[in-house]
Amino acid sequence: MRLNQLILTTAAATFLLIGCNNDDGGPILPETGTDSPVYENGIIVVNEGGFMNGNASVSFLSDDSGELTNDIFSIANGVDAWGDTAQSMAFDGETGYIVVNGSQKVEVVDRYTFESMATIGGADFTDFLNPRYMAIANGKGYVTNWGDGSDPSDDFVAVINLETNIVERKIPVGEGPERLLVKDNTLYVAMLGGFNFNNSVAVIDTTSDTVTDSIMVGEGPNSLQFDADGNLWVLSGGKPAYTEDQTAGRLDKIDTASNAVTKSFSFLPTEHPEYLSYEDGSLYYNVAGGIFKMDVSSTVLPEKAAITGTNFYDMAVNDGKLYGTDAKDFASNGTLEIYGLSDNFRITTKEVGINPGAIYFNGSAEK
Amino acid sequence: MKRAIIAIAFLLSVSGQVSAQEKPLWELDEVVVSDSRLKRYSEGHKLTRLTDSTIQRSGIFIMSLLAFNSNIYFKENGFGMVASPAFRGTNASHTAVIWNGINVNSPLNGQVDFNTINPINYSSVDIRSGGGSVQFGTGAIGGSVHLNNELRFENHFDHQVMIGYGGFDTKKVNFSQNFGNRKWSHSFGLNYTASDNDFKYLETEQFNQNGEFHNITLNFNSGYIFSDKNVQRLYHQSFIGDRNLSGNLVTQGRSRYEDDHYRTQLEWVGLGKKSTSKLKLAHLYEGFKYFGNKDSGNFSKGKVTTLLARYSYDLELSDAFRLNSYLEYDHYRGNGSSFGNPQRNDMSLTVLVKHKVLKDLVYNFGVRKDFSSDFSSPLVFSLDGKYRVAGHYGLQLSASRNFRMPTFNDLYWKPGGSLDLVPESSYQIDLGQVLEFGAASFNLNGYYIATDDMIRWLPDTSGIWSPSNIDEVRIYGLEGEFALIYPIQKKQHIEIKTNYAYTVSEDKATREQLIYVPFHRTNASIAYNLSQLGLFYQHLYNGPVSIIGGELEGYQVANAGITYSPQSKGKLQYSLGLTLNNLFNTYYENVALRPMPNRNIQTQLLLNF
Repeated sequence: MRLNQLILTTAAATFLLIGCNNDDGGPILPETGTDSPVYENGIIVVNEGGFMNGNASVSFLSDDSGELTNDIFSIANGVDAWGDTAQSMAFDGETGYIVVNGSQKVEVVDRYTFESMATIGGADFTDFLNPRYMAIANGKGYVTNWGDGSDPSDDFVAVINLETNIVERKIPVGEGPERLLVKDNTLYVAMLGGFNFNNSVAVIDTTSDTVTDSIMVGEGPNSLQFDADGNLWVLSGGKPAYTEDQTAGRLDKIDTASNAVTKSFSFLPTEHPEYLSYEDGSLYYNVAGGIFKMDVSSTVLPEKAAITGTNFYDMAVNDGKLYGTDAKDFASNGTLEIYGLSDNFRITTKEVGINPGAIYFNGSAEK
Repeated sequence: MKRAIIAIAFLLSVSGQVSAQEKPLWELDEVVVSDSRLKRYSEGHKLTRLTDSTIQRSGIFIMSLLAFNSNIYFKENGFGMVASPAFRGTNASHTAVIWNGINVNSPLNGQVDFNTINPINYSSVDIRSGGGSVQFGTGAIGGSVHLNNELRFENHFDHQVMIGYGGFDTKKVNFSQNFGNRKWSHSFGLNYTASDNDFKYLETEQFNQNGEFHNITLNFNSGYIFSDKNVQRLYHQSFIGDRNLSGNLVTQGRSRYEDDHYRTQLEWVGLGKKSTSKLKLAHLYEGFKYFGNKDSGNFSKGKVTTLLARYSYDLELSDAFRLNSYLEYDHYRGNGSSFGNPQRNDMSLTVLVKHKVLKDLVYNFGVRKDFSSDFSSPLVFSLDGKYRVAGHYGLQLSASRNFRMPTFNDLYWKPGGSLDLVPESSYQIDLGQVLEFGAASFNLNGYYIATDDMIRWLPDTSGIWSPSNIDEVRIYGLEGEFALIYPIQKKQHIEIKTNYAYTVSEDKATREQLIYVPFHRTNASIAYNLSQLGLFYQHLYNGPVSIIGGELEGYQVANAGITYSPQSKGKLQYSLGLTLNNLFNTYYENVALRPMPNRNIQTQLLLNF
């Protein structure tokens, strides 16, 4: 969920401008041993649902059949309302972790059946506080938390013992830790800034679970990728116009051996790029609905968009295709749009859940 | 209880025919109440009055009073939390709340939170169905709710103490004092209400967390008759509220909301032989603090001050014609975390004409034009009339154009607020039929409302939400109301009231019913008094509503109560009351994922002296 949207919907939810969903109680224990459908070889879309509406959902598009199934968590577990504002997912072998921001929890599921295995947090605010993204490193789970969105001093990365599903430690970090990537035993955490703006990447050593370095990047680092050579690319949106202190977006290339920024690309002051993706030597990102493709060896930013007219809420590239979600009016079902990157034409559009905000690729279940 | 709920449409025609000179000064409407337009220029509208006995039977806030005694549907964001109305299928900012003649809808969001009004220290609450922007300004589209303090200019000096305690550690204390003679009258009320509001969610192991609230309400009203030409009145109301905002089935509550409302108005009334002139000055303040984390010092805030000056002139032109005109100036000054320091000046000019064609036929015509420093407003009009076809049967008709101004949030919110907005504009027509047989009355109304230019917030390509005048909504419906007040014997009487509403409220583009508007809704109440004993039962059926991505089940909920009021010889009279809320211990959600309280007992001791 984006910053200004979050603020607005908080106000809206307070005043009931926005409706709510669903009518039944909390999770019921899953039935085990049933012939559950298997969600393999396809695309997982995590739908936030409306903030404070409790209608988070997960959709699955099968590569094999082209069939789209919505509400797969609800189907697999026989529950109706199970979470508020599902933000993202992480995967570890056969296990999937759904980070549910509004419900302050992580749902642990079987990656291929989505049957619930455990719930971490959720009862109160002791484990998580505004959890955002999760990564697996050194056999542990790491979940970024904003704390209270406007409080710069209560942000942390929660460390989960994946054997016990217990939050064992909280690593204090700066304001607004967002997406994170792992290389060997090192975590790179984009410090987006929560309700404010931050401009660094925190480096965490997962053997000691301490912050060992901080790399200065552009303002509002919103996404990051490794290239094939192991360089870290960080895309920062800059401050948008509404802050009345607009700054340009920036793309930084970081040598992970030295944690030094080796190259920086500045956007125009009115350009606020987001959704950095990478495949086969090319970076992809979005500026105001235009999708740009850039070779990692390029010395300048591309001038012309490869695809135009999109309205993505998240984006990912995989196997020569570009996947984007459109949240429409944020109150009705959104769509998943798939483009072929050979000709940049749209292949298909599928209706998914409300506020589709994260895209993942699921492989084959190893039985 | 004889003063209880009556469909007053017929009584109005009687009082309307008594000319001003025949009544003693201290009984004149112009002297006793501020909102005399409500009676005098609204004959074509359905008007329902709720008075003290009904008010005292209701729960803590005006929301429960109206939910069980009117056709207004409410969404309550958890018990005691923000409650917003959908009157005749309109949205939360399309019900105007009129406090002693002044529109008190929030300039910030256009709404009134019906859980911030405690009805106990008002003489009456009137519900006027249908559009009323000509008379009552912005937001009077579905209808208006009027909070009235009547000043009694006769010798009296009464006190009342009410103490209540009940389930979920709910405490209520109210003190009121009423004083009057033929020159001077005042009333004073002070209320404190608090609740832990930590009920168990039925059918689950969860509790309503972070739902506690407390608030203080102060009402002070006074009037002084200087001479038979000059009357002065003062009204004041303060509400200081502090609530935690409860979680729901899938989220935990952590936030807190403080809001303060201070409202003061001063009015001079000049009475002539054929005319009345009034000058009203008012100061309205509302401010809030929102704590995302109730335990932290971080909060966002907002406040708006409104200064109002209104001059009105009412003239009896002839036996058949009457004219009312007024000029109003409003100055708004806001300050908030999300909208900076905007200021705005509005002016409005209104003219109302009443024509009594025949003894049984009367109609009113009105026009109003608003001028704003930040947007242009439509010319609005109203035409309403009543015709008594036969002794027991009457017809009411009204047609009007109404508006809702863009709010501070719509105009000035950063980012996204837009000064390109225009007020929402709405046309409507309403036909009412009234049947009355002695103690029984029956109303049937059919209406159609077309609202264009409705303001909706949508995100642009860079993810910034911004409002625009794009939605169009069509609403039509049918309302029935039946009331019976029947004295069985000298010491016994029975009072029955039922409401039913069928409402279709469609987005014109999608042809789908709007979220949170039930097609069917009905309530019924029966009160029975036998000497010192009173019994009552209230029942509400709320049909299923569509919500984002689904449907919320309908529900039925009932309350019952008993009061014991022994006669004692001295001035001190007391009354004991016991109310069982949610009598059948029903699980229900008024807003999705927010279970409402299970069965609970509330007790009350009333001392009059």
